[in-house]
Amino acid sequence: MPFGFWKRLLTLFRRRKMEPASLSSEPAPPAEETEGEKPTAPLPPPEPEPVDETSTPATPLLYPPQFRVGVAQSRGRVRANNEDALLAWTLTAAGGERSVLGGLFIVADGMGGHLHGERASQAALYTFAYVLHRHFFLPWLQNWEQPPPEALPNLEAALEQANQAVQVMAAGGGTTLTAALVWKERLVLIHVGDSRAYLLTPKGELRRISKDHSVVARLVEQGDLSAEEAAHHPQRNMLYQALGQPTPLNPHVHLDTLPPGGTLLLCSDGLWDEIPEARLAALLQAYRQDPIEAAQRLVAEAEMAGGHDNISVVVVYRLPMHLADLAAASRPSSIKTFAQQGGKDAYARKMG
Amino acid sequence: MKSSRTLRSRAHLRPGTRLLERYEIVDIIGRGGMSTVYRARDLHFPQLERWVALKEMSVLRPRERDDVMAAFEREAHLLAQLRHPAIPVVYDYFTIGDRAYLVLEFIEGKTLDRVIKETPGFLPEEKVIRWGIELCDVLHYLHTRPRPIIFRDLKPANIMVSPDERLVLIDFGIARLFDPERRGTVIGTEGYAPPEQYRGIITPLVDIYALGATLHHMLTKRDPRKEPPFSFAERPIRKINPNVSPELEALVYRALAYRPEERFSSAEEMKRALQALLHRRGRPEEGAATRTLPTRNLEETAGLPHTMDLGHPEGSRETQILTTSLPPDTQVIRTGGSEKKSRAPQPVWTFACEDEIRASALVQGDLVFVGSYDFNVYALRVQDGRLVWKLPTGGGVVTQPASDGRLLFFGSEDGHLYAVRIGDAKVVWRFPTQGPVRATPRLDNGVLYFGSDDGHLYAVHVSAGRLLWKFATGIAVRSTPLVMDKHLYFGNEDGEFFCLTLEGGLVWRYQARRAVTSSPTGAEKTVFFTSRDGQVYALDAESGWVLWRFRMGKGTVASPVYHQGFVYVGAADGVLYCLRAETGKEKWRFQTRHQVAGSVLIVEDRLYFGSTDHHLYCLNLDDGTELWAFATQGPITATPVTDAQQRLLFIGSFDRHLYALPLQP
Repeated sequence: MPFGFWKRLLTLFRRRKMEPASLSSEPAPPAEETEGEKPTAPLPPPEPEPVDETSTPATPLLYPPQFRVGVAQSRGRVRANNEDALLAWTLTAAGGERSVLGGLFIVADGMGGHLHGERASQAALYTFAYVLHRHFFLPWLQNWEQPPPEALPNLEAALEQANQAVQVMAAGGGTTLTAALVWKERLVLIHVGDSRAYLLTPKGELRRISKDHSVVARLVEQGDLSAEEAAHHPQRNMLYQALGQPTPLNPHVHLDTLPPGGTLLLCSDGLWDEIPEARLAALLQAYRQDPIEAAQRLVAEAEMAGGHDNISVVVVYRLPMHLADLAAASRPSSIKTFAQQGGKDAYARKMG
Repeated sequence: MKSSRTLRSRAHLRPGTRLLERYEIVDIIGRGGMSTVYRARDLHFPQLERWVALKEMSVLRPRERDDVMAAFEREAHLLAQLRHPAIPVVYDYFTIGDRAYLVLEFIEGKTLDRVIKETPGFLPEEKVIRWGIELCDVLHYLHTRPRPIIFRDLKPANIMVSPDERLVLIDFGIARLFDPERRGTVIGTEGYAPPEQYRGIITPLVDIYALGATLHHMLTKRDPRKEPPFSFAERPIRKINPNVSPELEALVYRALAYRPEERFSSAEEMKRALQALLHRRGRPEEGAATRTLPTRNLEETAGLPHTMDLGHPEGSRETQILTTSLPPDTQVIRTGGSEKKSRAPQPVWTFACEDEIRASALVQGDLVFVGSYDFNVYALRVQDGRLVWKLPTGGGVVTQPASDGRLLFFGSEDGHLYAVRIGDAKVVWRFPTQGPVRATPRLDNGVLYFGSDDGHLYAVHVSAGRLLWKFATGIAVRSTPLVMDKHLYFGNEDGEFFCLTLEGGLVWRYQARRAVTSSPTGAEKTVFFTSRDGQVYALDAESGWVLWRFRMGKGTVASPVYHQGFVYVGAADGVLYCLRAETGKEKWRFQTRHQVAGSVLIVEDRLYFGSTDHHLYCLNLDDGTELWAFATQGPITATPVTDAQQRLLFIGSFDRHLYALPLQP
């Protein structure tokens, strides 16, 4: 083995100093074969790799990681009241070598055919948020050097309590609930009903990560209905799972990541029932840098397309790692507002 | 504000309230969307405690009022015309203000839903058949009225089981109201309704399907309300409850046919089929022979005194049934039946060492390497098992070797990590630690990472055995590190689980309750590991955040394997578990007769693993059904491995042999 190799290896080692194993019972003795190499300082914050080709490695880091959040809500054009509820709560903290980016995002849709739909969605939403704060965020604040409390057991407990809250506070009512808990890059989704969650990847692909608990969706799965038929099925909003019912819960759970430059969308059926997915993707992509505008425009389009139901939208954009990426992405002019396109007929022509 | 007022007006009647000076409310026995059912005392019979059920209907929105009241009245009139032991008698019907009341026969007992929940183990097959016959009987009665009545909502929650075990249908819930003009979200099925019901097609076959769903629920104890609609076929009855006869299973699935025309054409036809089953079961030999594997005899005898009643004294008709039933908690298919073993493949070759083989083999090119407790490492030809070389070490070899194609690396009880040239078995270097090396080394990018019983994780360069760094954990490290996204993950015997950078810096640490001897696996930025505390853990790889945990019957030293969205792992309770990687929920389990200490090999749609019950099992990956079991003469703690072409499977046993078994396509 040529000497040069070892020299290079040693230099590498000097540069990337070891973090002391402060948590083990005895400190790591210096490595025998690499004399004099003592762990002297903690690791610098990890150097992120460029997310995509557009970024120059030299641009300043965007630190600490952050979200931009936008929400929008509308009663729609048909309903007399608003039975939707939404919540967005972010946690951004940095200190020392440590940074945390977390959040809780919820959309709930109270049942139209039931009494107290309005109360049901709110009872579920606030109870869910309360339980998670009490059993997830607060314990972590007290014990901030450790990873936060367990994800799924707490989410399931929160959902169960929300279920009971609906039964007590809005007896006879029901609600969907779709919640995303984010910690660093990890996203844990839990939901019952048909309020949806989508992820827009940094490259602009829209992926649905929720699964409608609707009978029609199930008939599609079984091959009994085509997606086209399902979109117009009169009972497409009939759910087989919802909060507030005495039936046992079997929520859908999905693990994913919300990477730098990625976007999370939560919405009630008032949005996705009116706007095709391709259009959702286009709008989210066009207004990626400005989730507030994205959310407002999504709701506005759903209203224009009919607004048959209440509409709720939560858009969470995780900023990219480099300032350059943030600046580089600008709004393409190709996206026109609904009105600019010439109203509903033009819209129908365009979307098929 | 609006809602609080409406809530008040929907207030329930307090106990003691009297209606029509005749019915005194005692308590609430049921609640629905728009109706409440009370238990009341009929004061016209002051000398006796005569109970009635009072069904109350209240409507708030004036728009709906007439519809609802009309529907309620229809239910009253409908019921009043019916005479059947499984249908409650209607005594009276009246309205007070905006509330309407129906006075019904009070059925004592529990709902079938509760009976299913509260029965330990499974309901006996005969009981299910008899109840099925009773339900067919009442459905037939309803379907053959001059104006046929379709129940539309048959499910255990709508069936009462009286103390003398008679079934009574309750809740002819016409109160299920839709608001057809209004678009929006509504709640529909509870898991028992057939597909066509959602297209508005209501025929008597809707009730047949719901009866099938109810029987399925009774036999499997899997609540269809917790599952997606129309998914009964995904929960095969006999897979969950092997005591059920194939005939009954087939019958239930016929009732559950997706297409109505494939179901029984009438309740009467289904009833006859159930009766035929019951008569056949009257002849015990026949029933036992078709239903029971020879290996179950032991459990059967042990299960004899087990009663499966519902808390009521059993009539003599049930006694005979109990003697042929299995213990109710036998949820999984036991293995090792001789007929099955005969289907296991015969070894292509075997190789005998001088002592136990505890570790997994390694296949590299056309050689297979295996360490033994006889202090040797053997190199054998894949093709025929011929010995190429053997190398003595200073202690037993209990770990699987690693290789970069040129060198073979393995730890030994003598405290060294050996690097041996594959070509001539020459020791190129050996690296000393202060304790036995019982962990398989992980080779990544020219660096070997391995733990030692001296409490360290070592990073050693492959070419000269030079130490790059070591990380002190304070107690033995027997877990093989996982390298994923430029990080190392491993546990120690104190239950600590570490994430290090490839340079040995600590990123995070998690404390399990007991030792983490097994090796982690990872996928989708998640790390999975097991502990002797009996848990399977899923942690976020970046932050160490626990995403879920799954509790097994006992602790484990077996390493989990991730494959296409599922995690497979065995434990000391003898069970191999298949869990959903996203949720940690169990998909299926397979019971062996002793601890499972090794992990699994997955080849296409089959899964292979060994148990200390001496067997190597081959299961169907999808549902965990046993395809065959191969018996060795000793416990198996190793993991099966295969060659690059996946033609042969290699497994060592405590019986000193390495077996090469053919893998069928």
